[in-house]
This record gives sequence, structure tokens and C-alpha cells, in this order.
Amino acid sequence: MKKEVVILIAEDDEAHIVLIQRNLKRAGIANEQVLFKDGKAVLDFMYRRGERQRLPDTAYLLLLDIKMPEVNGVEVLRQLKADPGLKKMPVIIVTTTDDPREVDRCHELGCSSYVTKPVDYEQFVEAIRRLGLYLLVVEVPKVDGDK
Amino acid sequence: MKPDVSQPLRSIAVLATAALGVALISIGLLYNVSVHQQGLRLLGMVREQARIIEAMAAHEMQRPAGDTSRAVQDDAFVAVMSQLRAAQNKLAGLGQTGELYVARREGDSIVYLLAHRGQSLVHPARMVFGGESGEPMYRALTGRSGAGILRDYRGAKVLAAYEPVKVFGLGMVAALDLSEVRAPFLKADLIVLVATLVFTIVGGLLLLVVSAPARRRLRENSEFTRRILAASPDCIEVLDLEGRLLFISDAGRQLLEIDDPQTVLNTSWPDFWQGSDHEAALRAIAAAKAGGSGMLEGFCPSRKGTPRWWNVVIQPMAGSDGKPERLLATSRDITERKRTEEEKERLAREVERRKVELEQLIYAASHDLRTPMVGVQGFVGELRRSLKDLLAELSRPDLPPEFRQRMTELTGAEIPESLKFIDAGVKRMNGLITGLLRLSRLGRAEFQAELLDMNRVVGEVVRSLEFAAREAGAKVEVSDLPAALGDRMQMGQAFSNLVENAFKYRSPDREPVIRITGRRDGGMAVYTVEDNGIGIAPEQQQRVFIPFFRADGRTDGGEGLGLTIVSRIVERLGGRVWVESEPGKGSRFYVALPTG
Repeated sequence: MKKEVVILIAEDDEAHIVLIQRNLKRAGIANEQVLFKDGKAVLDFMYRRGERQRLPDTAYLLLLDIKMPEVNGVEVLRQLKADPGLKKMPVIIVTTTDDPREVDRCHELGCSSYVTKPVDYEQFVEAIRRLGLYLLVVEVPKVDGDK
Repeated sequence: MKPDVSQPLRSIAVLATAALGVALISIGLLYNVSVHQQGLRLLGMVREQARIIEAMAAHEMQRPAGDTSRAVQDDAFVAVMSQLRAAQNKLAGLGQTGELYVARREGDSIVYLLAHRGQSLVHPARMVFGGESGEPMYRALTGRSGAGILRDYRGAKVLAAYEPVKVFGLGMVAALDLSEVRAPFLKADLIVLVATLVFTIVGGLLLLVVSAPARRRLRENSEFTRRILAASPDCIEVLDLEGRLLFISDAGRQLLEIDDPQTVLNTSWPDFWQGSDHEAALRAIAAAKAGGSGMLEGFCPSRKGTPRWWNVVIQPMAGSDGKPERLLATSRDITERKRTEEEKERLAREVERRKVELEQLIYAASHDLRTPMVGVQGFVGELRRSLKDLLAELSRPDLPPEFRQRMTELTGAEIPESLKFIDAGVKRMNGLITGLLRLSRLGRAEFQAELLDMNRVVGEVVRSLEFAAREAGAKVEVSDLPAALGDRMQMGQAFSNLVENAFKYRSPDREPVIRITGRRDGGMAVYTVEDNGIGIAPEQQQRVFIPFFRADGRTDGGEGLGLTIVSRIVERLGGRVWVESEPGKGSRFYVALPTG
């Protein structure tokens, strides 16, 4: 169903959040954003456990950093992809780690794509840009279990 | 008397004494028999003479027919006496002290009528009738006949036979000094005694002489054994088949600090050991009993509590039937070795722990540095963008000229320059962090050593570096390479680093040519990466492997960790890496790896 996708950004470093946001803006992506400072907050939102809760009838896209307090990104990814109702939500890992083992693990767990925050600013921008196009073009499947 | 000799000598002495006893008893018995026989002989003699006298007297008194006057009787008497005298001289069988004499009683005395030892007829002695001496004659004169050992008229003991003579009231005695009777037997006794003594002594001497070599050998053997036991610093023990301690060497007593061996002899040896050592001790004993040898390494402190570690070997000692009769346990004190081993293990663990700690530190630090790095770089980019926007604003025509000029200086020259330097610094930091991360990852990574086809590995490396080779204008030649034991990925990384280095340090004067060759040398495969670049100065050749070292002080294109990583990888696989170089000509990097 075509409703505006809400972009969830799970990132604990303020500088990185601003960078992501600026680049989203430059790429022309003005979708609503919800920010999370740690993995637990993301899970509480998805499982409707905390103050903020995901809404029914809404499509979400998650930009997930790995290094986060409380619950790290890999664990969040694992839990989300293990849940039959939530596993269809696209998750894009955005992180500094380029350790091939970490990359493999995230792909195994089912992330949609993996973006390393690289040294080069241009590449970073390009990656976000591609993300932006992806967001606009693709029909994001609705999260199951909602009417 | 040496203990090895006194035993048989005592036996000889006992035997000799027994033989002597038997001989003496035999002689005694013979003596009795002889006395008896001699007595009978003397009696026979005396009786014979008595009858002769009686017959003679009867004959003499019959001569004048019917003349029974006193004169006839006296004549008869004289005739008888002279006959007796003649007989006395001629009588044989009386030996040296033997005598035959006649006497008659006159009132209370005995009157001897024949000359005999000690007596003369001119002054005949008179003896008291019935006194203590002259017993034989007394008996004869009292009508008894017989023989026996009695005291004669001198008071000396004699063997005497006595017989009353029916005429003239005489008594006759034939006697032999008992001493003469005894003499031969005493002589026999003496001979036997001396002979026994002589034979005992000779036998003893013979025994000593004959057994001397055997005894000397025995002494030498036991001396030899004793010396061996004493010379060994090990604790040597002898056990019976049940595991009871029969013997412990001096060295053993010292090591175990046992003051009184009696406290440990006959105790159960396996009980010296605790816990699993006890089981091992029982197993070792069983193995030795079965004819093999048992071994155990265990802990048993001395009696005073000093800790000691032992290496024990138990072997059977065969008896005369060839089957194990006793067990020999040799225990070596390995406390020092055990301590050293434990210390070594402890140090190794400590080193490993520190290494892990360090690597974790490097990893954590470099990892944590990444995050702010990204922020800084990101915002440098942001600044540039903002600058671009600013420049765009400044191109508006309605701005005052000095203002525009000043702004252009700032935005066109000063600010971009600042940004450029920040960028450069950040790039450098990033490079260092990346290098550190890679280095620390090496320690955490699992190495999978397998036999590698190095032609494949190096081939892939060269292929992946095609672009870089083209950029450097370099040619890479690879010869046939021997296989080696290594981790595929790490080996690829190492050779990649070496080749990239060759690109980096190429000479500007000629086309860079890089040759990769390999050969076998002993148990290793030695590979050479040779280039014709600018080479390395001699004093720097050793330092190229140090982390962050840059030859000729370059600051671009890397962090100086490439060779460090190569050496780490190679050393972890059990190999070696070294360099030979000529400044201005080129360098040769050698990598030696085990071939398994």
C-alpha cells in the first residue's frame, strides 16, 4: 500500500545523526523521521512496549547503526528478523565497522543492505543518495499483523 | 671372626666335638670290657696257681707213707714256696706292675710270704687284718674268690684277682696296677683328642682357604652393589610383591628426610601416595609383577613436609625360579623440573593474557576512534558544501566591491586551505586507525593452516592488483612456486602488501619489474619478491618491519604497517621474513614458510 514511509534512524552519535539527516535532505527525502538513541528504544517501539509505539497501517524503514548502548544493532537486527510479524521491514545497516565477519553476519541475519561509514565523504553521500532513491521508488511492504 | 666364615667354622667345631664325644665314649666302653677281661684272666691265673699249689702240697705230703709229722708238712710248705717263687718269675701276662703274691693270716695281721714289690721276706711287714688296704688279700684270706678294683697293701688302686688256697691257710692274689690297665686307654683318649683338634684346625684352615676366593667375590659383589647404591642420588627401594617396603637406600632416606628407617620399613609403599597417584602406584606395581615395568609421576612430600615430585620406575627382581620375587623401585627427584615447568606454564599464560589484553586495547581504542573520525570528516565535507553555497551567494552582483574582495579572499583562499589541512590530518589519522585495527585483528583472527597452492594464491593477489600495477606502470612476473602451510586469506594479504610496497617504492628512472619466485630449502619453502625500485638504506633495512616506520619519511599512501602485518602473519605461521637491498638498485624480500 502506498503510504509515506516513516524512516527510523537508530544512531547514538549526534554528529552522525546530523550528517545522515543533512544528506537525506539533500537527496530530497523529506519523509517523517523517528530518532532512537539505543537499540532497546527501537525494540520497545516495534513491540509497542514503551512510550513511543509504532502505528498500525504504517510502513517503516530502519537505518540501523551497530554500535549502540543498551542493545546493539546486530541484536536488534536478529530479534526483528526472527519475529514473523516484523521480519519484512527493510533494515539498512549504517555503521563504521568494515570487519568482513560483521558484514557477513548482518547479511546472514537478513539486513537489506550494509553501508559502511567510510573515510570518503563523497561515497557516503552517494550511499545515502541511493538509499533515498530506493525509498522513493520501492513499495515498502506493510508490516504484518496490522489491519 | 667374619660373619661369612664363623657359621661354617662353628658347624665344624660342633661336628668335631660330637665325634670326640662318640670316640671317648667308645674308648670308655672298651676300657670297661678290657678291665673285665683282664680281671677274668688274672682270676684264671690265680686259681690255676692255687690248684697247682694244692696239688703240689697234697703230693708232697703223701711222699713218706704214713709220715704225717710236722717236718713233712714243713717240707711240703717249703717245696710249695719254692715252686711259687719259680712260677712268680716265669709268669707272663702280668705286665710291668703286675704281681702274684701269697700271704697268710696270723692273728690280726696278714703276713706276706713271697717277695714282692716293696716287701722283703727278711723283715716281712705285717698288715692289719681288715684294714683299709690289702683288701684283695683280705678277701682271699676270708675265703672269697673273685676279681675287682681294690686297694692293695700299698693303698694304691689295683685290678686284683684273689683266691683262697686250701692248704696252709694261704691266700693268693694276682694284681695289676690300675694305672697300667688304664694307661693304653688314656693314651687312646689323648690321641683321639689331639687328632680331633688337629683335624678341626686343618679342616677349618682348609675351609678358609678353599672358600677364600668365593668369599672375596661375595665381598666384592656386595661392596660393588653398595657403592652403586650409595653413588646413585636416586631413592632406591625394594618392595615385596604386596608392596611392602623392604629396603630404602641412604640417598632415599635423605631425600625423604627419614631419621629412623624402622618407621618406614614394612609399611605399605603405595600408601606414600595420595589421590590419583595412589591408583597409579598400584597400577605400576601390578605392571612390574606381571614381568614388565611400571611407571608413575607423582607428588609425595618428605617426612618433614618438604614438597617433592618424583618420577618412579618399578621393575621386577626375579628369584631363583625366574619369577618375580621382589620389586625394585627407582624414584628420581624431579621437583626442580616440575617447578621449572610450572613456572614456564605460568609465564606463558601470563604472556598470553597480556597479549590478549593489549590487542583488545588496541582494538577498542582504534574502534572507538573511528566514530569521532567519521564525524570530523563528515563535517569537513559539510563545511565545504556550506562554503560552496557561500561562494554562490557571494557572486550576487549587488555586493559592495571591498566586501566582495575580502569575502573572496577568505572563501577562496584561506578557508579552503584550512579545510585542506584538516582533511589531510584526518586522512592520516584514519590511515593509522585502519592500520591499527588490521594489526589487532590479526591477533584475534583464527588462522587456518592448510597446504596452499601458492601459485593460486599469488596469482589471485596479482590479479586483484592489476589496476594498481597499471597505475604504477609495473610488470609482475610469477614463476612456479612450491606449496607451503598457511592461511589462505592471510597469505594473500601478506603477498599483496609486499607487491604493493614494490609499486610504492619504484624507481622513477625505469620501468618497475617485480619478480616473484620460490624454492625449497630444507623443511621450508622460501619465496622471493624482488623489485628494481629505489632500495632501502642499510641502516634502515632492519627497521622496515617496525610498526609505523616509513622509509625516507613519506607521509602519504599508507601508514607504515604493511610490512609489520606481513611479518606478523608469517611469524604466526611459523615462518620468517627478511630483506636484502641495494639502495638505487632494488630490494629482495624473502618469506620462508614451513612445508609441513
